[in-house]
Formats: sequence, C-alpha cells, structure tokens
Amino acid sequence: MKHSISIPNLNVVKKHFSIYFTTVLIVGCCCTFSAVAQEMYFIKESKVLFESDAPLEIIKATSTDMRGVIDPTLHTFGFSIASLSFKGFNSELQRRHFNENYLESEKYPEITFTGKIIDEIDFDKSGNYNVRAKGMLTIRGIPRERIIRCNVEVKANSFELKSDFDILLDDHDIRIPRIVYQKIAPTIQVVLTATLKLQKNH
Amino acid sequence: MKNVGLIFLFFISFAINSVASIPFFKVFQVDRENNNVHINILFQDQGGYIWTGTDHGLYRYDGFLFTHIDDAVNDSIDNITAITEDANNSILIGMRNGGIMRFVKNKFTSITTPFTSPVRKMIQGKDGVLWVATYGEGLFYFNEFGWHRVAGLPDPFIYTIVAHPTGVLLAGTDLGFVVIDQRTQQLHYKVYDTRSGLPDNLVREIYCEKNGDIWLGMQEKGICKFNLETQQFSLPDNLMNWNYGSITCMARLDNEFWIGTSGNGIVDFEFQGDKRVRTFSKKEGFNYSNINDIIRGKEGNIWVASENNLLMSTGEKFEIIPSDKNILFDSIQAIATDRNGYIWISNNQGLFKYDYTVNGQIKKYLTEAKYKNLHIVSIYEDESGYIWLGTFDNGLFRLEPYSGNVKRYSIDEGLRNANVIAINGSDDKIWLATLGGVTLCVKPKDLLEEAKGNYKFINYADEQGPGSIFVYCVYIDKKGRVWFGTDGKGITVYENGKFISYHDFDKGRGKVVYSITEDHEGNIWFSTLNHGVYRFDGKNFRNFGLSTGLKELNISGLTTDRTGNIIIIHQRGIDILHPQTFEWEYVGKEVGIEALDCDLNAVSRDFKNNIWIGSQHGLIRFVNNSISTDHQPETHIQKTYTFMKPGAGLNDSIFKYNQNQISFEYIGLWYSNPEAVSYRYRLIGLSNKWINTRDRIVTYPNLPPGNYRFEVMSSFNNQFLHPKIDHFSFRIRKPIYKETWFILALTLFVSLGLFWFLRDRELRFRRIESLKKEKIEYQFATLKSQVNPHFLFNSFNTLISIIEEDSTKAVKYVENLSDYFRNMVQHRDKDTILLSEELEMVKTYFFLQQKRFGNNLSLEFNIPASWKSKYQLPPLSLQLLIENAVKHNAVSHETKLNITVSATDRESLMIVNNLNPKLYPDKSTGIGLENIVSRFRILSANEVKIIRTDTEFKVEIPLIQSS
Repeated sequence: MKHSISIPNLNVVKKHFSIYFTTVLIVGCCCTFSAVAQEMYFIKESKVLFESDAPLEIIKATSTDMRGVIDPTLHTFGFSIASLSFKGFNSELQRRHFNENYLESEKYPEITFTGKIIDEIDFDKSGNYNVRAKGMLTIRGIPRERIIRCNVEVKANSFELKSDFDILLDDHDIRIPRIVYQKIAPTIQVVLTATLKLQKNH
Repeated sequence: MKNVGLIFLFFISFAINSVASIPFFKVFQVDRENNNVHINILFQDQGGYIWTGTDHGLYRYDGFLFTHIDDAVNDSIDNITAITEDANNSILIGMRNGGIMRFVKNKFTSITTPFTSPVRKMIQGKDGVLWVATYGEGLFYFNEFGWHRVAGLPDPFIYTIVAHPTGVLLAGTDLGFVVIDQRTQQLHYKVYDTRSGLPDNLVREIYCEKNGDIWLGMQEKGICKFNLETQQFSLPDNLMNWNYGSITCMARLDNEFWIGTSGNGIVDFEFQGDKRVRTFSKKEGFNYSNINDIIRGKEGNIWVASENNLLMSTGEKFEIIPSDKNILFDSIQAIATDRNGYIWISNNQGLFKYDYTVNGQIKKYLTEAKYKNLHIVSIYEDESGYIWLGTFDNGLFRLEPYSGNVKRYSIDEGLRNANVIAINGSDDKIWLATLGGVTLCVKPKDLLEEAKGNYKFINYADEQGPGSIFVYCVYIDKKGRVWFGTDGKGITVYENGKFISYHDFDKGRGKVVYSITEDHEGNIWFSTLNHGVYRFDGKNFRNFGLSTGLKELNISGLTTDRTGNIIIIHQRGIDILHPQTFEWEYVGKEVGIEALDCDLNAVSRDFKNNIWIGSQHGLIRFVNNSISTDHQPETHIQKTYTFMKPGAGLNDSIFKYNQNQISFEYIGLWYSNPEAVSYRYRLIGLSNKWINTRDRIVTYPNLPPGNYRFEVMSSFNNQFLHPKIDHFSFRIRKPIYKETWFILALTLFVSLGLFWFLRDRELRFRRIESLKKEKIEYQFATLKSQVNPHFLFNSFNTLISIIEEDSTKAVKYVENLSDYFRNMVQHRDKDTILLSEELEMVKTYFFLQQKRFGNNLSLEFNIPASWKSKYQLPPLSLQLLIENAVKHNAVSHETKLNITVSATDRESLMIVNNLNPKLYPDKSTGIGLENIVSRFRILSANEVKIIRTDTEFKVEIPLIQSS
C-alpha cells in the first residue's frame, strides 16, 4: 500500500490543522469533522469518581455529568466535565475547598481531555478492546499530555468505556497549603465509566 | 557567547556498597541562577563537544565548563527540543515553538519554518535535505525549493526520524512506524502498525544497525527488532514482557542497549553476549527516574540526561559487581575464571563460584567448619576441570566442583612448603609457586588414579631450581616455557628441563618479580618491586617506569586483553599499555576505581575476554575491547585574547601593530579524564619548536609584526602519537610608517618634490643667465647702432644745416642728441623701465630724426596717460623698433614714413608703419628685432607679435605691469 505524496500547499496544511484542533477542542458541541464522519458516539450516561487517599482524610466525589464525543472514523475524542458537578463530599466545607482552593472552579469551570486513540479498535465489531487514549488533559487550565489506558466494550451502535488512572496534583499546579498537607494525597485516583451511543450529527 | 552565572555542581556518586550492580556515573547538575535547567536533548558534534538543549537555552560542555550559548540578537533561544549538525558542521537547534536556528561563527541565524509545533528530531541527509519531525504537524523536509510537508502520514505527532543504511528514512509516530523511500523522484512511504505486526503503535525511538537491522523503542511494549526485507517484527526473547514503562530514548553500546524510561530509570538490555537485562532505577540506588536522553559519546562514554542532571558513564567497560545479600565481594584474595565462565573468588568468608550471567548466582564451597579460616591465595582450574586452591600455611587443595569433594596436599603428601602462592599448569603438569621454591605436580596417566588424587610432586630446591625459595607467580607461555617470578633472583624460566634465571639486567633493579604475562608477539612482560614493568624479548629487557607513562609503581597484577594490550593493575587504577606503540591509557578515579588495594595477582581473564579484578572493595569486571589509539582528544582553539581581553583583531585574524600581546585558550576534549590532557603548541613565525604544557592558555607578549600560525595539539597520555591539531593563522600589521607601501610612497613624494625644486631652480638660473646674455647682446647692439657712424654722420650733417639756418635750433638739436645718448647710457643696464621714460627717449630720437627728414617722417602716439607709469617695458625696445622703421624704409617727399604707436586692449602697444622698402637697404645686424622678441619672452608671459603685410609692418609688444 504505497501512497504517493504530492507537495502540499502550506496554507492548506495550516488550515487543515487549525480545523483539526478546533474541532477536537470544541467538546460536546455540534462539530463537523469531515463529510465522511457523519455519525459519532456521544456519551449518554457516565460516572466519574475520584478519590484522594490522604493519611488524615479521604476525599471522594462523583460526577455523572461528563459529556463527550468519539469519532469512530478518525479515532479522535473529546471529553469534558464541569468541576462544579462533583458531588458526594464528606462535608460542604470539603466541597467548597475542592472548588475554591484547589480546582478554582469559578475560573476554570471545565476539566477536559481531548485527543486520539492510539491502539487498534473496530467500532463495527462487537468485542472488548483495551486501548490507549493519548491527549491533553486540562485541569485548572493547565494542559498535560497523558496516555491513559481504557477498556472499551463495543456493542451494536454503542459501547461501554471504563478507565482508571491517576492525576498528579503537581502536574496541574494544584498547590496544597501546608496545613492540609496530610489531608490531600499528591495523587488522585480516578475511576471512570461511560456509555456512548452512536448518533447522527445534528 | 558568554559564560553565564552558571553553577554546575560536580559530585561523584559511587554505588560500591549498594545492593545491585549499577555502573559508575559522574553527575553534573546544570543550574542557572538557582533554577533547574531541564535538559531535553543531548548531542555530540563532529568536533567532540557535548551540546545540551535545555528549557533555558543551549549549553556546550567541554569537560570543564558548561557554556551557555546565547546571542545578543536572539534572546529567546530556549526550550530546545532537537539538535543536529549540518554538512558544514554548523549546529542546528529545533525549538518547542517550531523554530529552527543555525549556529555559525558564534551567531544564531533563524531559519523560517512553516510549522509551530515542537521540533522533535532533525536529520540532514547526504543530499543536503533537512528532515524535521514535528510533534503535532507531521513530517517536513527542506530542500532547494523550500519546505514541503509529507502528506498523508497516519499521525501528525512524529517522535523521531532516522536514516537507514539503505537510504530510506524511518519515522516513529503515535499511530505506527513509517518507512519513507525518498530515493526516487516520487516519495513513497509505508506505514506499519499493530495490524502489520508492530507490537505497539506508539514508536518513540528508532536505531539502525549498520547491517540494516532496525530496533524500535515503543511506549508500552519495550524494544523490538524489525527486518526491513522480511517485514517481520520480533520482540527479543530475553525482553518479551516489558514492564519498565514508557521508553523515552535509547543508546546502542557494543553488546547492549541502554534504554531510558520515564519513571523507571535505565534498562540495560544485552541483545547479544550474556543477554542480561539489568535496570538502573531507584530500587538499585540509581536516583534518576525520568530519563530524557541517552547518547554514546565518541570515547565510548554514555551520556544520560535526566531532568537537570547530566550523567556520564563508561558504560559496559567497567562494572563493579556489588555484594550479594549473603556474601560481600570484598577483601578478595584470589580470583580465577573457569571453562564455563564462572568466577571463582576467595576472600576471608571463603570460596565462591559466581555466575554473573544468570542473575548473579553464587555458590559457596568449603562450607564445613574445618575450612573456616583457610587463606586461599591462589586458584587454578586444571585441564580435567579440578579446581586447585593454594593457601597460606595449609598447603594445596583439590576441589571437584560438581560434588564439592576436597582433597588436601601438604608437606606430608610431598610438598616442600605449605604456602602455595600461585598455581598454573598445562597438559599433565601443574606448577606451584611456593615460599619454598617451585613444586611440580605431575598428573597420573590413568583417569581413575587422577580421580583418586594420586599425584607425584617434584620439588625444585633453590640450587637447581628458580634460584630463590620465594616464588610469587608462575606463568606458562605459548611456547610452553614456564616462567617464575622470584624474590631476589628476578625472573626464571624453565625450559628443556633447566631453570635459567635473569636478575642482573638493568643494574639489578628487576630482582623481585611479582607478576608475569605475555603479549601476542611472545614477549614476556613482568612487574617488579618499585621499578615498574619490564619487557623481555628473549635478549633484551626494556623498562617501563613512571617516566614512560606508568601511573603507579605499586603494581598488584598483570594480564592482557583480547587484543594483546598489557593490563597493569595498580593502586591508582589500571594502566593499559599497547605493546607495539608503547602507548599508554589510564583509567582510575574518573571511572570510579581508585585505591583498589588488590591482593597480589587477584586478576583473571575469562574466555569472553572479561577481565576480573578482585579488590578490597569489590569485584570489578573490565572489558577493554579496543585501546583508544585511533581516538585522541579533539583539539580546539576556543578563544583568542589581545591583552587578556577577549575577541580577536581586525577581521578576526589581522591584528594592529599595537595589539601584539596575544593569548590563545584551547582545549583537548577528553571527557573520560579532562585533567589528564596535555598539550603541545608552537607559534610558527616565532619558533617551530613544540612546547609541552598542561595549561590551557598561552600568551605571546610583544609579538613583532609578521605572519604567524598558532598550532596546538593534545593528548590524553602525553604521548602525542596521533594528535589532532587545531590552528589559527593571523597577521600582525606593521605600523603604518613601517609599511613598505608607505615608505615607497614617501620616498617617491620626497624625490618628486626635490626634483621639482631642483628643476625650478635650474630653470630660474637658466632664465637669468639667458636674460643677462640677451641684455649684453642688446646693449652691444644698441650701442653699436647708436655709435653707428651713419647715424652720427647724418646727425652731424643735419646739425650743420641747422647751425647755418638757425643757431638756436642747432643748440636744441645738440641738446637733444646729448639727451639721447645720456638716456641710453642711463637706462641700458636696467631690465625694464617705465613706459614714460621710454617714450621720452623715443621722442628725443624722433626729434633728431625729424630734423633730418622733416615732415616726411611722422610719429603718432595713441597711449592713455595712465599707462605711462602703470606699465614698463625693456629699455630701448620701442626706440629700437622706431629706429628699425626709419632704417629699413626710404623716407622722402614721395615716400613718407608714418609711424603710429597705439595702445591696444590687451595691455600691449602696437607699432605700425607703412612700407617703403629702400632700394639699397642698410646693412642690418639682424640682432634688433630678434633681440626684442627674446627679451620679451623672458620678461613677459606674452609674445611679441610681428605682422608684415604688403603695405604695413606691425609689431605688437606686450607691456609689463609695474610692481
């Protein structure tokens, strides 16, 4: 399978890329990837749980408000979750600390992860796939390149997504005041499940 | 370019007591103004400099200093993510913002790029085309037509691009591995991903072997091999299950890859040879988890970048085998290697068999209590596979390594002495060096008898033996001769049933011999007490002491490496001596071996050419695959100074005459041991003699003007056998007054001036001369004409007629005649007289003539009154012209003569008369008119003009302005 390469017009190249990135970054919105990719998978149900297992205090919270889209043709994806949607803290104070001190949810309302799927996956064939997703994880406005492993259970017109991974607070410049050092672990464990359904673009 | 306030810490971490085997690393921390400088990329250029691309710019390391390379114009050179060198040896740097800069002659020039994504890798092919892998915008190349992007690649995130020996290019991306064939007009490429058998889509590193094999470093599945012809991928059998995290970089050593990971340090993967897989991670005491880059330097050193640390290691050359949990590899007394590659080691804890190939398995022997305090000082494996152990005071032991059965031999069994210092053998003979002379142990022919241990011992006493009872070593050479090192009788050889002792050579300095070995040409080498090493070629002894390059006299052992180099183990490390060129190489402190405190001859070479050295501090494995004869330090002249101020002269190589104190700073790049480098330099133009030094700067004060060439070479062993020379040619200008052109011009100028002056003077003289002559001639002529008898006769005739007519008129006539002569006498000596004076004379003359010719002669003046005192003219000139007119023309009633003298508008007088030529002209002297012409030529710039027509004769004489 040899491809011949023509020397491309550079302006076209740049345009292509700017389109590529903007589309990936607009998450959960009506996006037009290309004429071919008319159908995409959208998140129907989701649950994101995070846990900070510090010596003095365990912080746990869950959100079911994750939005996201996966392009089965280009194998690109975009996920987004509102920081304020996390619920189930031990106390209201904890929730307030989480939003005000650490995530600065007012300033950075969204946590996003956009990128592409590295490994082979066939959305037309039912089965279980273990794939890596590579992209930019942006928390508190600070993007970090991450490769996150996830399990995908493909069914007809839908699939289940499961993943667990760690987030280093340092990676996103989340500074912990010395006094609560013992209350927050430097790494946060995240467990994520989602159901995505194939849907025509509108 | 300047040295910024850069603090670089230099500390040596030596993992001798750690629990696992990690090589020796020298660590440099790169800090700038107390900020950590994160190193992204390492590169060694053709000239040998190590370049580090960091988040805070470009640094060049020369073994002493990290120099921050910056540029006054481009202060934003940071976030360097790629470095390469182009065909002209210029450094190219790629940056995180997609920018590319070229560094030439200490200046950065920007190369415009059509991308803004980080540059991950740049390579320049033989065709000059620059290939750039960007992280986000794909693969680009730059040729004579400009930039082009390779369209259609599976993914725009390109990690690396490398050239394959066949000419194709290989690129690693997030979504597979791409083979690009750009050799034909049309560019083709092929993508390999998991569907084509690639274990992992994310390919971060690629290495091509010279034979075309390709190694791929992947994000998750480790390292795999790819065959371009069969298109097959294969994981190495000893590294099938990679669990060391993401690969970030890798470097190929002789038998192994050092693979850098993010989070798990370095994985040392031997793809051939012993096929070990080792890790250097936190667990092993290696505190550098995130590895950014690894390269192999020209000297064979490995350079590792981890965050803000730059680490240097000798790689596979040295390995300190760490102590096991149970056994400390220290205070080693004897060492031997057997046919299986096992290492036999004895120390105060007993005897061990060590298998370094399989997870460092160790087996302990002689564990029974009765063997507890045995001092095993010599170990030998005989040809039947028995291990022989020589002890202090306890005689000789024979060990059967499989069963562990031991048989002991001492004085009762036939040994002369129970201190067996060394054992060696061949065929059926085993030679023992003891403190009681030499003992030969002869094997029985019958295998069963041998198994029973029935050996025959023959002792050689001092008289017919080696000469001394103290024998320290025994060596059997390729010819089968047995050599002994003795205390007092030098070296002794056993040949054809006889002992020959050599101890009288070199003023008896070689009387005590400790170790013996042999080079590939059959020369015997041995070490002595306090006098270094000797080479014996069968006839002569040649000494190699401190003055020839040996670093230390306290020698504990000798052996040879694979290529026959002499390996000398001593208190300060290891000296390697090339037996033909006598070139030395020294390794010591710089690689972490110093103060080894080795026991005598605790060294052994195995059949894989590993040299095993037992020391007080551990077991050292040393592999010397090649002596660095072909690799000498790269010499660079780094800076020139004039009067200790940096910077060169005019146009970099031309200095003014007063810039004549010139210093050169140079370096020989030798990272293994920068302090050991010595230099030789000379300044051609001043002296052709080489001067030895260890300084890195030389100053030449008061250099006279001239052409010079500074040359410097460097050597790591002070021998300068194949030195690399750098040079700097320059000229010191002469001061302007010493320049040849200036002197020539000045001479010319002065001579011309002189010439003009002389010529002018000459001309002036000549003019005066000629004027004088003219005047004299003129005076003579006028005098002659005035005393012309004809004039007098005529005048007297006229006078007679006037006297008769009117006496009063006659008196007046005579008065005029007398005036005329007086004026003539009065004026004739002058150069010029006033016009008024001349007119006076002309009037007198005319009066005289008119009396004779009456109204037939007329003279008319048309001269403005102001002219009379304003102008001058040579005396008698006008008078002479009038006289000429009267003289040459007939004057009568029929032929009247009218003379007019009138002023012109050209400051001249025009004298005109009508022509009545005489039938018989008066005799003319010819001087008159000619004389006037030449006199005017001298005195005036204007010429006298003479115009003769049929009816008129005109003369125009210029007037001279009164001064």
